[in-house]
Amino acid sequence: MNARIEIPAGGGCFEGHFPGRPILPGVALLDLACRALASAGEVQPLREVAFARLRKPVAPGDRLNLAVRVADRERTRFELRRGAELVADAELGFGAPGEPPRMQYAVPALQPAVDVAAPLDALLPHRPPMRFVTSIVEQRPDGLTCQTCIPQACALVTDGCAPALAMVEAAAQTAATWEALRRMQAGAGGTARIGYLVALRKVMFFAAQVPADTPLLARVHLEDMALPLTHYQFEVSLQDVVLAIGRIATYLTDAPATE
Amino acid sequence: MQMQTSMTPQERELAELIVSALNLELTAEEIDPAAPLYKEGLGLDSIDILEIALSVSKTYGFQPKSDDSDNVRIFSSLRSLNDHVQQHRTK
Repeated sequence: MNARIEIPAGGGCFEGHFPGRPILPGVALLDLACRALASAGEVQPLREVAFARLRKPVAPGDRLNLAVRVADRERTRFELRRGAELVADAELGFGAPGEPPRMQYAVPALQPAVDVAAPLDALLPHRPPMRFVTSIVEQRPDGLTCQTCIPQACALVTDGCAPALAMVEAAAQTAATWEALRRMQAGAGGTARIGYLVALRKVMFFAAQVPADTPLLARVHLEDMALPLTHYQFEVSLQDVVLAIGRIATYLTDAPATE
Repeated sequence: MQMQTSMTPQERELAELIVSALNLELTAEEIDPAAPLYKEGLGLDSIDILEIALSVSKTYGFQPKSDDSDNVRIFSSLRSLNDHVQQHRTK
């Protein structure tokens, strides 16, 4: 199977991601791929991202070609290309979401938020409506927990809900916040730098959608670091129900965030 | 016809690590130990190389430096990477 994916010329998910430097969020690209796959077959919710590699930034107006490499009942493996250039490849699993696992840690009290003497604007290049982190709940030497929320105005939201993939963006922004705090506290300069979400691995979703404008707890835990590449484990929960778990990799660029 | 050179057990172990770290579609046996890992060979990009370096450091107990000027040579093929790993491994 092949399908064309036309990236909008602006607005939508490019709003706030990032000011002056529009890059399609990796989760928005994967969501577009899911929609293209669904339009060609039976519509099942995304249950699993076995892996996804986001290889090249996708810009407004890009025209991509999706080619399915392997598909069986459980998994679909595909590539996204811009011309001959490989932009992303992934293996996704579709079907009814599984039963959520029990939370592996105590939920920290949500109030008051940790005072880190730096506004989120100084830590993160993301701006509304693509800013999901709302406050820092707990900072640890090897990770961070943030309260996050997918704004109703975010382009991923339809009928009051965002696809489960949006939770991966909440985790990625939590990871970016941890990284910025770490650099700031090490005296390495507090300016936000643009990082890319470059890989997802063994991501499991326990809900097909998440409600907009609802507090979600995103927790990241450092797994491996060899800058500019960092691996994190993450967990996103709503109240005390885990809705997504998995691993992400981020790539920190030298590019400062600009307004 | 292109002949694939045969793989040593150590090269095979490293090839399996690469296939698993990068979720490659091919199997470890299908990697030609003498072929380039970069673009024209296996088609890996710079982030794939960082992923391999991370897996190598976990498995073999040393960190290949990302700014090593020898990296182009070290990562030029499975064989040259394996030579480097065997020289520097601590486990």
